Amino acid sequence: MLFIQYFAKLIKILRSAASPSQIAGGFILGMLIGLSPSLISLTNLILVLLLIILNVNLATALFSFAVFSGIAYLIDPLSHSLGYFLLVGLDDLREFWISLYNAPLTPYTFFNNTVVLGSLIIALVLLIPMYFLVKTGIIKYREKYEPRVQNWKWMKMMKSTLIYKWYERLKFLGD
Amino acid sequence: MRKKGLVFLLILFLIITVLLVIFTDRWLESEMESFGSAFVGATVEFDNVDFSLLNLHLKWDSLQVTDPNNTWNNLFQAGITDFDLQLVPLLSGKVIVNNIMMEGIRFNTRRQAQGRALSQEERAEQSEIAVLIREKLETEAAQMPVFNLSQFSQKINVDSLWNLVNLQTPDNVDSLADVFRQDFQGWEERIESLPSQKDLSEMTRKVENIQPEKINTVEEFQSTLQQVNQVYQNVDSLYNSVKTLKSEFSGDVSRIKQTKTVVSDWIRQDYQKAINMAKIPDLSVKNVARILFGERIIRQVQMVLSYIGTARYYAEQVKSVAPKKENPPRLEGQTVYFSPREAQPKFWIKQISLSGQILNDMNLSGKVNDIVSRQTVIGKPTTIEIRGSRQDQRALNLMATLDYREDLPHEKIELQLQQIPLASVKLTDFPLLPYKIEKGSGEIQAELNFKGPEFLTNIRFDSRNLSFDFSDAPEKMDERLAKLSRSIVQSLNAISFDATIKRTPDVFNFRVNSNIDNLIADRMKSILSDEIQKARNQIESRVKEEVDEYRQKLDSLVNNRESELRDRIEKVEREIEQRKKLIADKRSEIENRINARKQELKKKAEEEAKKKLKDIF
Repeated sequence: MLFIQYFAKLIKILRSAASPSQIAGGFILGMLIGLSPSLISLTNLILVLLLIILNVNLATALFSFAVFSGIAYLIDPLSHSLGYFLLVGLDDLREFWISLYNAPLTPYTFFNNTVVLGSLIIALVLLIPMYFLVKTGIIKYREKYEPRVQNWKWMKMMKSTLIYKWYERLKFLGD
Repeated sequence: MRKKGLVFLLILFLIITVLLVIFTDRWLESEMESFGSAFVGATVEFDNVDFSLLNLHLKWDSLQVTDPNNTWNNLFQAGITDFDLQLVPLLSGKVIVNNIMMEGIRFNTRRQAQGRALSQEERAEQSEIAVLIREKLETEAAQMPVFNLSQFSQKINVDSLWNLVNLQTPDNVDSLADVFRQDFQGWEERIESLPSQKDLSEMTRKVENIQPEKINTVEEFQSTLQQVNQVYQNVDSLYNSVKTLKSEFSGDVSRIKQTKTVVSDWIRQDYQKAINMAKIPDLSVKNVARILFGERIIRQVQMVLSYIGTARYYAEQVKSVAPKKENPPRLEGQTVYFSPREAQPKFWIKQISLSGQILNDMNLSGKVNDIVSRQTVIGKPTTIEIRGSRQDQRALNLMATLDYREDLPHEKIELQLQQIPLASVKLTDFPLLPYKIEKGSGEIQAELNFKGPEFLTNIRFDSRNLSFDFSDAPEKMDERLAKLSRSIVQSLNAISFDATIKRTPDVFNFRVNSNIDNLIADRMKSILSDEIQKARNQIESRVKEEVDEYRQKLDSLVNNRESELRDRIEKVEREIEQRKKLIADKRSEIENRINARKQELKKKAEEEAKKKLKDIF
């Protein structure tokens, strides 16, 4: 059921009127929020504001947030180790962290938590490649694969499901 | 930029603001209660927490801190408390409070609903060394002597006890007798291998049959003497062997007799075992002192230690330049603390002003200074100073210093209580002191000094003019014990004790002395000693009676066999000695005969020579 939900969401996004840049923008913002272990932080507040203010696709952001929340759980040990290495293992960065620690508002990003910092760095590394990957992927999909996918038997079956119909009704929320 | 988004953002902001106004207080209250409970180890409750975002003002109406050792009581409770947070440091995540006014403090109050003591897992983390010391104290408490009232109330029934006693001495004596029998059997075999009277007769027969008067020639004499000497040497060698055997036998018998003394040890062990089964009480002074006050003292020190352990844990966390990598639950991560710049630490309550009442209307006031996340930043330790006094000289002084500025954490707590009213107080859980105090007062002086892994605690308690409330006597107490208990209590008008707990890396020492140690031990002994002595004597005589038969059998075995074998050895010895003498006599006789024959031949030769000379002249 969950798979169908996500798949329906994905197909919906791919077919929406949103431009590939909007979809890729929503995707990377959702990824940044999803990879962060703590929802309530200054970083996430800024990201949500950006999500609302910028003209990016919200449905894609929600989709990528859901997917990357799961990925965040899986890569937690990696994030923890990376964060610990950056915060404790590198003496050269120590002064920088101390400056951040004492700067106004930055403590509320909880950057001095190993998983928060580790996952933020991973997200930032993935940010640009992921943006272009998603954007190119959407363009290619729309050009080559969309008509074929629409003719798949099980795609037609899925369209007849109740959940898909609900998405159709609420699709304006994603635009 | 989307306009809809901005509108949505505005609405979202309004909703969040409303939610904050509605829920911040509850959330804050819950967080504070959760942190406080983890720190104290029991339920901590704040009432009507009110936080103003605009003024950064925090207030609550009351605070109750449950006593972890008695969840129906509060360690203390406080009334209205309020304070302001500073805005500018807060932007940098720093909580700085200048002064907290905490009024209406009262200690040891009754709770309306029972609180909850937290399990060790639910409590806040503690420093490793504090946990180690606490565990050591726990072991000490577990090893505290137990006072079993029933062992005093039950009369010692030696008859029924005797059926349960399984004496080991009889079996051991039987086994020992078997070993001795084998030893003597060995000796018997050695003695049997000695020549019999017949063998000796055979050996000496030739010598006995020699008739020196019938020997005439020199050659015969020489041959006979040689033969006699040969037999004499043989008999003499045999004689020496028997002498050696006799000496070895004497040595072995001495060893057997020495081994036999182990029987006395077995009897003693059997006696002690029977005494232990009878559970005849040991009324040593040391035990009484520890039973009376030991566990209560240890529990109090443990409680203080758990708070110190938590304080040290947080101090170590923020002090650590490169904290060890932990394994936190997924998505929780590990927080790394950095040194704050400027003159302000991350968390600093500069002062808490306390006021309230304690011990029946004694006014109390005090200050807690510099509760701070990193003492090195402000260069001052956390200090607690609470004083209370009344016109009738009742007084309380509590001074505490928590110093985490150096590498070794150092905590020092001094408490003095004077003229404490002791009415309705039950000093100990000792079963023979079940009564509450009716009248009297006391003083406590305690000093707890913790430095790194070491600590030294001295607690002194003195009470005077005591009288007890006998109406509080337990109903089910044995009549004899009730008499003993009243006798103890009636002679008590002052109680004092002095406890020391010391821990260094090499030594752990817990000592309690009390003026009533000797009193209680003497009273108990005076009432119980006759019966105890009688039971001891009965058990001793039973053991003796049971074991004596076996011991006598063993003695008799050793003595009889020794005497029998010694007689046989001596008989052979005598026999050989006689033969030896006989041969020596015979040898002398032959030698005499040789000498006589020599003289005879000499004389004859002289006469013949004279005769020849005469014929010549």
